[in-house]
Amino acid sequence: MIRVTRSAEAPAAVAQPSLRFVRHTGIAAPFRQPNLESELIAPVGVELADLHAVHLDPDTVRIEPHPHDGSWTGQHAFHGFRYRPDGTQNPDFVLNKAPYREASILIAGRNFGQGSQQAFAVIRLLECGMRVIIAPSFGPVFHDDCFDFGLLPVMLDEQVVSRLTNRVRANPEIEVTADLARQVIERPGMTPLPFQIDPRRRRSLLQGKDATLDERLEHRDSAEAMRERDRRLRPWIYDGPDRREP
Amino acid sequence: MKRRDFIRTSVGAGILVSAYPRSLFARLQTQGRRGTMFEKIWDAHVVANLGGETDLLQVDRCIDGSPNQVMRLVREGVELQNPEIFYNVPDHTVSTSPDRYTDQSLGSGWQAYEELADEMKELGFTKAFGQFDPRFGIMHVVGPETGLSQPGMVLCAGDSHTCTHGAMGLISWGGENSGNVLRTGTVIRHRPKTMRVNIVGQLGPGIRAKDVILRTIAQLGTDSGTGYAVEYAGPIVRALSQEARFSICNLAVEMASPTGTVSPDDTTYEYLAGREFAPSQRYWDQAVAFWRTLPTEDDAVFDREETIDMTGVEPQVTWGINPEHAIGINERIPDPDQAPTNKRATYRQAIEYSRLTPGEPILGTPIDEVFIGSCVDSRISDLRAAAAIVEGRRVASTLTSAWVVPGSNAVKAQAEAEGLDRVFKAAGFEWRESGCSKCYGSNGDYVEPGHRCVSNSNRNYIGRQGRETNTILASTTTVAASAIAGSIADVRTFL
Repeated sequence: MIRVTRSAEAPAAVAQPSLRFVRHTGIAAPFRQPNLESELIAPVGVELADLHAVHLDPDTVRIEPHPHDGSWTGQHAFHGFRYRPDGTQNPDFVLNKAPYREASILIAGRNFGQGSQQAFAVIRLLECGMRVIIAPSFGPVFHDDCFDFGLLPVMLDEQVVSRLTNRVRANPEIEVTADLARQVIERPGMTPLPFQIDPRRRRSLLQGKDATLDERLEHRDSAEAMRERDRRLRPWIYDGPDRREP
Repeated sequence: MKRRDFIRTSVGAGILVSAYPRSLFARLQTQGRRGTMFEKIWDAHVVANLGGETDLLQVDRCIDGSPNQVMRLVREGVELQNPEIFYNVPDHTVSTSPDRYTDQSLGSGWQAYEELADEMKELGFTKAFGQFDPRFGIMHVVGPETGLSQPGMVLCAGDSHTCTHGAMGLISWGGENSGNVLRTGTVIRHRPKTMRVNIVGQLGPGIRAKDVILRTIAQLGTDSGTGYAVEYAGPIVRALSQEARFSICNLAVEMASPTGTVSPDDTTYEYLAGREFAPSQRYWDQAVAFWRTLPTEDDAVFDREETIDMTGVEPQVTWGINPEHAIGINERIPDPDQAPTNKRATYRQAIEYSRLTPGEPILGTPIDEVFIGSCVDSRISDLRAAAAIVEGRRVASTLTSAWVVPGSNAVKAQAEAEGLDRVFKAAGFEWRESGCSKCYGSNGDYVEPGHRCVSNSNRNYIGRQGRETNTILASTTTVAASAIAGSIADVRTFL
């Protein structure tokens, strides 16, 4: 089955995610399986190859609709949970149930996104509408990737996440708010839950751009001076006059 | 440079040290806070301290799999720094089919890559190795193999197995956004703590570097390296070939450390000598003299020390769903009820997913596929070792797939020059083109659903090689032996 086609005229239906995150309110869905590998969020197989193709060549690659539900964006996150082996939807999976179908906040288990998928776990989650992931801890590479794509990872104590989960399960239709500016998770009738986040990353998300760039640029003169000195001290690591052109 | 030249120059290194610019040595010797290689290199690269343990570091090499970051920034009119520190290898998405050079529909990403490569070269990004380039391959094989990864460097990339390069005596990590590096040639990074893993004892027959690192992870745990930069040391590591050291450092990230290192020595310099981007003849002596100042000092202090005794350790294979689930080939599949309390849930999940029975031997477990490739163990020495096992034998008829995917075009060419391809093909293996392939499946090469695959790669997470697939991690020779047996096999009976 070749599902990737290259097309000169039709650009791929790829949502360019906003890198800015200030505040978001939406339905929260609890899916608390611990140590959930990024491989299970963005499964390996035909769809992963497709996604890679679009990512590398967004202007000319178009993906044909998924045979199960007619879409390709979004529905493949958590594929192994979402679908049964015969391709039909699994009604027991949380994101297949109302009102969680509309969820944009995921309440996850510890070490969420362990392993690494070259950011595709994050892309998959964004494409199925997620804007916030709340978990006791995250896989390190997944956590880094979140900030590159404007997905907010919120780390809270295991007990706090469990309490939030219980409240959400009792009244799933009541929306949850993640406020990055004030660093709190809120829900009507619940004491706001404060969370910690790296100040550089918070600033970057609030501004919708890499705020560390300015910080790095501040030191540009020192960096350039150091590089110049290094060119003299370690000329062999740079393309010098004796380096034959490939 | 030939090996002979290297030996000649290294003899004179003692004199050269004194002739070398003092400032760089002074920087390394006084600033390496506690004498570890990691700290010496880190400190020599600090542009500015940004408060606490967070530093702005100069980057010496940055690798990217796709040219998109570069080209997007160029189109935005952003001024880019130091193009010569970059190299691009689109390894994850190319096809490994022998038809990839003629069939345009195979693989993905490379088409766009080829369109951009010329433009990139004009901008000074000369090291863009597309799938048609003889230097193409898996980025973690290509870097050292072309001499781009050298001792004393700070190297970063997006891919998590960037820790592989640390075996050259440099410090490296994945998860960096190359666009950020392109703009300033620097990264912001929190200084990790340091850990030394001393590998001691005697390696038994048939034991390879992959067995050493699987044993290490099984002993220490998949989260043991969190927050640490790891140095692998001890007599066994010193005696390993350079290629074997890559296999060790490759799995550092599987113990949750983004950085794995080995202090450089003559094995390292000898490996590097004569490679395309290695220091030229003109700078070689100077470079070696500098590299000799890098190794961890005898009195260095690490934040944590661990010792792994390899005496009596058998070939290792994994039974479960993470690299920590490694056991000796003659051990039995563990019983979750007997497992440490905090691991019971994972053990139960692993037993359920892997469809294995606790208490049964792992040896002889039937398999469906085997895979030899990946950034762990796909270099020429690995292929030679595998070929020695399969020569004159046949892959079991019950296997649906047995692939050999060389780590790079150069490895493939070398293997073919030695006739290894014919050995593999005669045994019934499929001899493929280079790339990441079935280790991860983002190019569309994946293990069939429900199949059990013995693989020399680095991850056996649920679904890593494809949906509902069971991955048995093992050394390259164990994979080769298992292919012949049609089940998980003890390589020592094939030696």
